[in-house]
Amino acid sequence: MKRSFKDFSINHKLNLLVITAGGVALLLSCGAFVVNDYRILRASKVRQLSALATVLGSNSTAALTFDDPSTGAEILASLRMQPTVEFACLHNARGEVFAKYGYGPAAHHTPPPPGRSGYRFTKGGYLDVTHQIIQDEELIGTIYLHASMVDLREQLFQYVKIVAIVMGVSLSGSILLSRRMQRVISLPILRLADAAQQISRAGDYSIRVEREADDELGTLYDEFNEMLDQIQRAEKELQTAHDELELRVEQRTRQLSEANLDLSREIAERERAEQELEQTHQRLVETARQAGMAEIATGVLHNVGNVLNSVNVSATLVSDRLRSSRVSDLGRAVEMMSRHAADLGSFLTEDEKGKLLPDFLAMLAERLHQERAALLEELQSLIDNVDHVKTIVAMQQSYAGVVGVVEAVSLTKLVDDALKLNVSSFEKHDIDVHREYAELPEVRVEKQKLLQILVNLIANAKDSLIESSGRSRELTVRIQPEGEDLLQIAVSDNGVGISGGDLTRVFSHGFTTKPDGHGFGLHASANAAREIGGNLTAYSEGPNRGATFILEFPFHPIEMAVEAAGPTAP
Amino acid sequence: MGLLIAATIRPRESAGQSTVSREYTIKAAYLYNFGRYARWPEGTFCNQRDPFVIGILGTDPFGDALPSMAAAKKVDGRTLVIRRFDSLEEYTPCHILFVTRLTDPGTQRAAVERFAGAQVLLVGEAPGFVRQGGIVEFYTRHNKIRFRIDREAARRAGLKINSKLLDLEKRWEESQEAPSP
Repeated sequence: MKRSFKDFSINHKLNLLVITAGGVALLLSCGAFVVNDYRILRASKVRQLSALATVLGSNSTAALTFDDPSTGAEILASLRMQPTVEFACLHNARGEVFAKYGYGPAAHHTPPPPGRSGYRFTKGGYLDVTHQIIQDEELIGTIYLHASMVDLREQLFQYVKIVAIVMGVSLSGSILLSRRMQRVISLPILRLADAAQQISRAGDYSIRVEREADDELGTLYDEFNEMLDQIQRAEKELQTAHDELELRVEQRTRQLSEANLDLSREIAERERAEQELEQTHQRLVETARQAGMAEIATGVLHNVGNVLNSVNVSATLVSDRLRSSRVSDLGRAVEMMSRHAADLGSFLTEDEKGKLLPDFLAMLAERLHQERAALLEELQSLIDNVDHVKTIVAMQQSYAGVVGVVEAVSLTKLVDDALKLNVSSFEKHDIDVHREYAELPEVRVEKQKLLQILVNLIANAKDSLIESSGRSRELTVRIQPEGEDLLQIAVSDNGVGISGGDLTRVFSHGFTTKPDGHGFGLHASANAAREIGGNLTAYSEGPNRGATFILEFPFHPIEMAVEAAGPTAP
Repeated sequence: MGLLIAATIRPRESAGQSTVSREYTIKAAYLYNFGRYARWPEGTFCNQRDPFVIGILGTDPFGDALPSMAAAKKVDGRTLVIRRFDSLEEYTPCHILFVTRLTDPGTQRAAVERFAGAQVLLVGEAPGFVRQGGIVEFYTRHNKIRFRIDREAARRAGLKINSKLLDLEKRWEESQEAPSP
């Protein structure tokens, strides 16, 4: 039922427009007139009543002055001629009621106490006027009038009736007039709408409208026709484009299916290549594994070789000692004693040689005793070395999958052990060993790996010192903490040193400067250092200026339980 | 203005001395008001500063009423002056001359004769004062002070009396013939 104004037909809209515009204008102007008239009427009423009060007051002066209320009442009684005044009252100068007048509904109105001159609109549509009666600047009384404004309301009602009639007549007149006028606007629009409907229903863009006037609607007609022309042209172009497009789509489809075929072929090829790659990769992995095993084997052999070197030295030493043993002297003494077995007593006391024999025997015993001690020591070193070989073999087994053993180790003892392995060489080659050990608790570390690294570093330093000439040979081992959670073991020598170019390569597999080296020792040491969670670094100021190798690894005091970072099985 | 308030005599206060005093208070106010409701001919006053003079012939019965009014009020912008004459010989010009009741009839008659047409408002309170030739005569009715005016005498004296006052007087005169209940 309720439709938006937008949906109304143009005719309705125009009608509504006229009615609204005209109605609002009329209503506003009439309203303004009525309001204005009402105000004027009211003001004139006030004036009229005030004048009346003034006249009555002036007439009452003598009555008030000479105290004659009956005359006052008679003067007020003249208000009968003014039916809207329903109540009037005279007060004397003392404020007492002097005379009263009442008529109609407000006849028994209670007068307010006398006030100043003025007027006031009161409840029920009344106008109250108060007038002070003054003679020679002397207040002699007050008059009060209470008038109904019913006549004013009647007049207002009359106005409203007139306004309604005027509005009705003028609106219907304007509607009738606008009906005729609006056809000039609405008819061409309706015709245009019809044409548009026809076109859209039939899809026939050849229809044209015929313009009738030169106004905006005429222009609209022209534009409409022009638009239809454009649509027709565009339609034709669209058809052409469409045809072309179909042709092109067909071509492209063919090309695409060919490309698709190529692509699937390529995919098959790539799959094959991927398979080959996979096989190659497996082969490579296998090769790498074998190479790794070989590297480990080389490492083991190298370490065993190092130890065997020491074993060899120890064995040679033992054999040399034995060869130069004084045991033969004992034999000669015994032979001498057995030759003089018959007269052993006199031989020992009287013979020149015999007298010397007891001293000689004592000296010999002393010497033999010393020899025995030295040999025992050397043999202990041999046993240690053989133990080391056992350890290395065990390590090889650990590479084969056994987790490295973390144990509590005294670092000073471990370093001393490593030095001891080479002690004979130090003696032989006149090498001074300096020990600078910081005081440290026992630590948890993979003992064999650490030992392997130390042995290797010490052996390298020793070799470097042996090779150098002309100076005192000094080897220093330093143990110190580095920061809160690192330990540092430094092995320094003043041997042949390392050239700057070689410094970067010393840890590479296969690099060596020794004539009989394998190039494996430092490489394996660096790996081992990584495996215990540390690292190995080399420093040298150049050839013949010595070298320092520093091993750093995490400091795990014995109090702390630490998981071993064991190597994984290949 | 306060004296006008006394214009109503309350019956319950009708005791001798007090009643007399109230009567004269009202009469004093009326005398003063006659000055406002009457017009004297040109030449009566030399200039604007001339006082308005009320004369009293005979023993003054007003007590304090007239002097206090004279101190507070003006008549048409003029100061109010009160003069008292024991005999006609003492007379000096006045605008209003009040002849008291106690003045002997001979003197009253002499005064009326002397001031006939003399631009003086002659006010008396003895019965028949107007008939003798006076202009205004006070009398009492229904406990109210009323007065009658001889218009002809006033006209002869060259005085113009306000019509409102005359209307009032006329109503009193008419109601006297047919007394209201």
